[in-house]
Amino acid sequence: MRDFFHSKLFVFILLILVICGGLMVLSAIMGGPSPFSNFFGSLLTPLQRLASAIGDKISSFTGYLYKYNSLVLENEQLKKELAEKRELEDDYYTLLNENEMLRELAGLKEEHPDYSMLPALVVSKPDNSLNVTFTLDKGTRDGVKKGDPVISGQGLVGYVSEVSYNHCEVTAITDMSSRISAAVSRTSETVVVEGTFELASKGLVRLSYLPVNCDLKNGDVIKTSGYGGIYPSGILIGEVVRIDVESHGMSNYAIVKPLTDFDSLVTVYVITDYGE
Amino acid sequence: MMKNKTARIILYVVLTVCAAVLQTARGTRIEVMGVSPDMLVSIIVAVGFFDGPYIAGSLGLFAGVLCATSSSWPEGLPALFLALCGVLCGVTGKRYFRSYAVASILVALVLIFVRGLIDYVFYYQMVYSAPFGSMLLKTLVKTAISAPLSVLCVFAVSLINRRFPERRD
Repeated sequence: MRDFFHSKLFVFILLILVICGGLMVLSAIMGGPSPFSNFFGSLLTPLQRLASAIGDKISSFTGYLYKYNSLVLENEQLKKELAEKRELEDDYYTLLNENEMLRELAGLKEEHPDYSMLPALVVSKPDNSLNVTFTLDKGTRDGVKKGDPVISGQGLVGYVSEVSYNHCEVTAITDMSSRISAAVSRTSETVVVEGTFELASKGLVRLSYLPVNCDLKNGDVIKTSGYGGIYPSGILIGEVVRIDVESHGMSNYAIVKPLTDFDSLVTVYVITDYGE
Repeated sequence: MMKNKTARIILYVVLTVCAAVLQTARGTRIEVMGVSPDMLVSIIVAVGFFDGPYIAGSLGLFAGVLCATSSSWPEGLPALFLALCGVLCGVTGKRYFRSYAVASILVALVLIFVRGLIDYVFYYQMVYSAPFGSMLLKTLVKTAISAPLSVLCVFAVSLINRRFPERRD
């Protein structure tokens, strides 16, 4: 035992005790980590950061392996839930549209009891800004014929220019080829509503060849006259927004804003028979 | 002789740093029931058995200072514990054990358990009045999950020791 106290090992253990005791005292005096601890900590931190980054990469990769089955199940369940939700959403919008359509139809039926109307959905529109033609989801199988007038809840839309088995194409009243015999609601004066290239992009139509002394005012409502064979009488077209003199000065013209909003058109009614 | 000894010490230091990083870094730290395994004790014990008390004691001191920041113990105490573990194993290993590898693993597990007792049972129970049963369970879990890693650490130390043996001219 006496040899031990004189041995190198005893001195070494004493040294350890002194160093460790010194560290404790230093830490207590400084009220926090000692400079040694700070130094080793600062060396260790970048290595720990690197190890964490590598560990994260590995665990994110291996996570796919050991979580694969649960992820597949979760994915399938979520897909199923999503499909159900989509179906519900689709049903909701279908019912909403149908409801709106039926409300409009009920109103129109009251207004025009002699009309046979077929509700139709606008399924496509041309990808230009003119919106002069569009396609409906009804065709010959539904009783649609070429030349049938098309109206919306607000007013006149156009006529069926082409018809196929399950769809048809409608030419709007704003189209350049459109010429409609109309009448001013207030005065019953007959006018011609026509589409022009310049106005089509703005969704407007024009009343041409108005006599200079024509009794027309801004806000006057224009409706179909029933002459010309395509459109029945009394369907609202739009209202006058501007009256001006033609460039040659012999007559006036007016700009009419259609009551139908062609940009938001979804549901329309094809008049398959109007009893004339 | 000096060359091999230096290489061994450098490799022990590298192994200790790696173990300290792996057992404390967020991405690599293994955690079971809120406790993580201890590899440093196993390395120090194995070095004590294979290389004697001086290298093991010094390495224990270094390891203790290195992990002081990530330890709940007061600074200096982990270094004291690990250094004394190294010295104890270095002194007793050559005298009382034949198979250093098996002895290293067993002694390391005992010391990990002791360290766990000090850490969880004494510290947490005394300071935070933690339930004794739960803390004892944590200590046992820590010892159990340290066992496989302890085998690896002892194997690594033994490999370094065999690769760079003590030459006697």
